[in-house]
Amino acid sequence: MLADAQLMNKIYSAGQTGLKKADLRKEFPQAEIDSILEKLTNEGKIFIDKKGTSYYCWLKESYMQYLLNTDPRFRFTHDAICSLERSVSKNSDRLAAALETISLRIPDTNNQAMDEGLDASQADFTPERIAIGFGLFKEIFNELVANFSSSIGWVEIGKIRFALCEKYDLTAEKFYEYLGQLLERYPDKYELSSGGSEGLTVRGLLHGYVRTI
Amino acid sequence: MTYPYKMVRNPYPSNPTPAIIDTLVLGGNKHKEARSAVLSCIEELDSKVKHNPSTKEFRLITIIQDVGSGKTHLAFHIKGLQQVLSKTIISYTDLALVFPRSMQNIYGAILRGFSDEYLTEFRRRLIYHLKDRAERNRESSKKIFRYRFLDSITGKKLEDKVQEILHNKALIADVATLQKVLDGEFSHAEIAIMKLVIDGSFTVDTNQVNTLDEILGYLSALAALNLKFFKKLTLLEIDEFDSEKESMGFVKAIINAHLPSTGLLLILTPSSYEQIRTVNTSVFDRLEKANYKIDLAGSNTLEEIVDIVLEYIRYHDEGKNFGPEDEKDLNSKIKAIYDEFPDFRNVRSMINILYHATEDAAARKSPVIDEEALEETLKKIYPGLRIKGSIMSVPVSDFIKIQKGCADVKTIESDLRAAVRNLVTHAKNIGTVSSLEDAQDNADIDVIYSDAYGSKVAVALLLNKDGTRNYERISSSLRSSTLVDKVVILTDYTATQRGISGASVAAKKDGETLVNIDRSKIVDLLYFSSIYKTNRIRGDDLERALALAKSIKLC
Repeated sequence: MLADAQLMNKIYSAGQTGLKKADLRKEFPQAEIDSILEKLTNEGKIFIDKKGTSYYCWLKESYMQYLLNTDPRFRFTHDAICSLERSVSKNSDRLAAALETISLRIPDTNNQAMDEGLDASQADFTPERIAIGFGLFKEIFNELVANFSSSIGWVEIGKIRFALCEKYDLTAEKFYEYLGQLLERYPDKYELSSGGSEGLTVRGLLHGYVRTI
Repeated sequence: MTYPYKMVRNPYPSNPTPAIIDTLVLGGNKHKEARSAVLSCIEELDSKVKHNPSTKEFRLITIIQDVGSGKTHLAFHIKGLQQVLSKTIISYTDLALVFPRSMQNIYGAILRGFSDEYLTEFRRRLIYHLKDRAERNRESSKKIFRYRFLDSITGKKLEDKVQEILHNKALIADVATLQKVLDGEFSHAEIAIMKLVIDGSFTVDTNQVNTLDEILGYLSALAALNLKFFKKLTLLEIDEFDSEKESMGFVKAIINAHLPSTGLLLILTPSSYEQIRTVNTSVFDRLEKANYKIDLAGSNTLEEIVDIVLEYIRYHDEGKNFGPEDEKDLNSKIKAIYDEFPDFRNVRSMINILYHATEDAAARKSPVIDEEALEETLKKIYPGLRIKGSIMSVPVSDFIKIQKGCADVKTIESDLRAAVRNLVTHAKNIGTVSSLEDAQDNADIDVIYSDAYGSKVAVALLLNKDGTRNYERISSSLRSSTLVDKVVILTDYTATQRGISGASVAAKKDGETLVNIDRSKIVDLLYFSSIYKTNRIRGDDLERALALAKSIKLC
């Protein structure tokens, strides 16, 4: 019995030139060949079209290449669609990037309100109650290091954590998560020193002081 | 034993804290700048004192940095510098060794901080000074050197008495007698110090002093004597200075007393500095007004650590066998350790690793400090250490080799593409995916396979902007393709960097899955590929490889 795969492999081997239906019949003289070809066509796996005076068979990809090479109208339409798709994709990407930037700056008031079991409209919108993303955290953190630092530049991490969490309602866990990310991403911009009452543990030592380099 | 780079000894110290012998070498720009600052302070003080020896010139220097950053090393290095030795007499005191912290104990520690050579020479100069003085006045010689009638009739000369005292066979006169004889030339405190030095009890009887005022008097006297007999300044280095009450009181008194021709160099951590600020505003204020506040900021940066580590080899490389290529090679290995293990971003830790790695390389007769030496070291001294985020449990030595190769984008791109194909082939071999197809005719696709649900998935690797591919082209080409149902794009840079949408781990849009492969995944892929190609996949590697494939949405 003739298998679909056998037939498709044969058509695939002809590439974008396609395989003459008559040649296919000669190679596969079985009676069911026409019904198989019809089934595959209905399933969208192969395409049959007239080229010159004969009918040819193609696989999906090869047929597309054939049309692109031989039919200028098809090629024009295809290029126009691709261009449109690129344009839409580019704009949606830009929009998404812009939204991401904005989301770093704008407080997540809805979530905050939901966390507190309140309706978003009832939430306290004062700047002291905003949640912050990593980008904003970095900015504020740098500002606090500059403001709190002694003459030698060191600041207690706990002091920064307290100020930041107090003002922005950031949890201590989130603060240290962000701080870990900050140090990981910018190892040459910050320096830690051991001691203090809270901070990050490095080499088994509590490092509770930070400075910018 | 020959060490790597044909060195005759291991250049790295093995002590957890530096010993004098280890500190001849000083690497790192920050540390060198700090040295220059101390030298400049000494120069300036010296010129002031030379110009007016009677003036009470005092300087305060602070060195503040975290533990293990090389502060003590710097203090020892300065102590051994010829430029410093020619102008100063130095005492180094480690307050961590002083317990209990009474003022007498701190004072005793400062006196014991002077070198034996200095004390011997000081004693000799004092005795000969007294001899000169005595020779000018026959009567005083009798009193100072206890020269008696019996000595003269037995033919003993004054020089014989001097020799007896020098060899500890006789004592000079007591302080009261010396005071009478030396009349006005030296203060009472100076004479007391001279007596202690000549008797050899300079560092022993420190408990005899009762008040802080007395101690300050003696330290002033000592500084004055150093200037008179050596024409040198006195430099007191106090390490591990902290907020302990007695230490702060002692240091405050020294600063207030303005010891003549003296420099006080305090070494402390930011933590101690902050504690002092909290508990003693007065001392903190004095520290804030230090003449030189030496900042070792950035002493634990990669650049600084690399320079310090390499400086040890440069110093001990007598045969000049450590060439630029070796330097570059070692540099990349240090960078790999520094980047991957935050715990080792510290001079002391890195020196410790290099010490053990050098020993290991020497034992295996390796001409260089190789990856194996570093891996063995990390295994031995830090058992349980893992490469951060690695699914394949990449050994450190392989990790360092892979990291080294990651510098060339073109090579890494082709290696990664092969790695992706190998990983999918591996998944097919164990039956997770099927009917693998070669996509060599499409330059934008690395591999096509059918997943467990029969969908055709095309995988494309997209490296950063220096790579050969372009996101828009791949995306457009793959979306327009009717050959596949799904597309997985593996990329090493985040969506934001590309200027497109959001998530950095995996973003899906319309049959397209965008997977961010971070550095650890790249290393995992390259490691898997290397063991796959060389048939070194063993035991758990099969499972790990599958987990790796799943983590980047390949099956």
